Amino acid sequence: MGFTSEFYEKVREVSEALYYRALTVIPKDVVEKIRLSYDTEDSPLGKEVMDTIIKNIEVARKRSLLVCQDTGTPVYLVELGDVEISLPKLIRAIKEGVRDATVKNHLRPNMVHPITRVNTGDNTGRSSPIVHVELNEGLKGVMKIVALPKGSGSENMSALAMLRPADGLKGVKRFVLETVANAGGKGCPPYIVGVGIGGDFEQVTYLAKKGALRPLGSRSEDEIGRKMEDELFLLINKLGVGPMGVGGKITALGVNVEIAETHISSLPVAVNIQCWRGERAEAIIGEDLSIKYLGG
Amino acid sequence: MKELKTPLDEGSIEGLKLGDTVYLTGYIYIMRDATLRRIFEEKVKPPEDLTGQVILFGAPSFIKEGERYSILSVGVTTSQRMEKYIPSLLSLGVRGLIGKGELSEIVTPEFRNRKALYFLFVGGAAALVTSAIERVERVWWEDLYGEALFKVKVNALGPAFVAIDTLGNNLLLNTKRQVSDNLKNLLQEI
Repeated sequence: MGFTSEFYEKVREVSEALYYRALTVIPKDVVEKIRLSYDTEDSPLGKEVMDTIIKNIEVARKRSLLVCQDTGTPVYLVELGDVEISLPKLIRAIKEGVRDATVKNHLRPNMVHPITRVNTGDNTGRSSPIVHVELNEGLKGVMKIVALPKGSGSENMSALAMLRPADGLKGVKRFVLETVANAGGKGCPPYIVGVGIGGDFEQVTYLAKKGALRPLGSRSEDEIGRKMEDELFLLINKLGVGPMGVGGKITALGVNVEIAETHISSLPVAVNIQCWRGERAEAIIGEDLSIKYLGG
Repeated sequence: MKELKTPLDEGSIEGLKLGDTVYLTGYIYIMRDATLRRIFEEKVKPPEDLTGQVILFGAPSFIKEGERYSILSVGVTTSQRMEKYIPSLLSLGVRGLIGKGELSEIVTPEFRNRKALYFLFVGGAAALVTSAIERVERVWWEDLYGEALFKVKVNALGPAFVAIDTLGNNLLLNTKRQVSDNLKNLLQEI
């Protein structure tokens, strides 16, 4: 099927709505895990921090406030069904959605030139938003859009390593643990830890980000990935960082591992740290241009 | 839990220990990177006496209608970026800093010397900070946008946790040392 301008207008509308929604409504799976973790945490101060996080989420919802002041780097993940689409029109529509969300809601503009630090003023720019497009043949509907206004505090704690194949599973685990320990309380734990393994220098960071985006409780498609999710979750929560770094049992809400084939001489590993906010909002656009917002 | 009224005097904060929870009421100032550069690099004197005052590290997003400011969102930012200016800030008589993340052993003794406190606020808990602000009292250096100097009236801003006390104990550095030991042991296990 072909797409009319009405379709791209829907994409703009959804992109705008998702950006704001991700900043104000914490995904249901994340809220549930935060509540469960409150019960598990046994350090009194850690518990108090978890309680504060829960209160903050409730106040944000009741008073229509942003959960966190960091309106993030706009990242969109688009999954397409088997459709013919204009990529320039798609990207333009998402960009307009980001601009509208920023201007209409007076969101803090974050995007600056990396050296001059001059702000673009509306969170868009030549390379912003960051849009990833993927094919999803099993998709029910035309397009799924996920908005991730990624906070900088946790993003700055993320890391990449090009390990040697001989480093193996042990090397991967070591790197993940060291990265989370180094992040400590600075990236606003408890974290959702996205781990990418394989691919190349570029793909591995994308895998890690996809991991950080994946709902808590969902599992890796790879068998070894699933085992690692369980093992790393236990190990990370033995580090003792605790909520906001005050010490305690809850350092991670979850660990999501994404795996891709890699080169015979490579073992890339990336760790994308996501803060407790777990910002993410998603919607599906159907063939009849209906919009279905998911989760939250 | 303790309720504190700003400005703080030495007596009101004396018994506070690491991990104690406080709620603050009164005026506080909001500033961060660019504000501090203006004061300490460009040597522009702060417009008000900061003796006994509490500073929150952050940058509000706001709208201005006429002369009236409304803060849309403000939360705490990473205090470590302000470390360079903390000794000078404390020497101005500032008695409390609110931020997130640890401060290093380099500045920790300054809190003992000046009888000041560092409060940890939950990072990302902007809704709690924003909803505790009753009104914006005054804004200076508007050319710095969100990094302008804000004076706001807060009611029961909290919970804030004592993360460096007046004896120079440092909660988050204690955890960090523990994490580093735990990491060493875990790396033996894997």
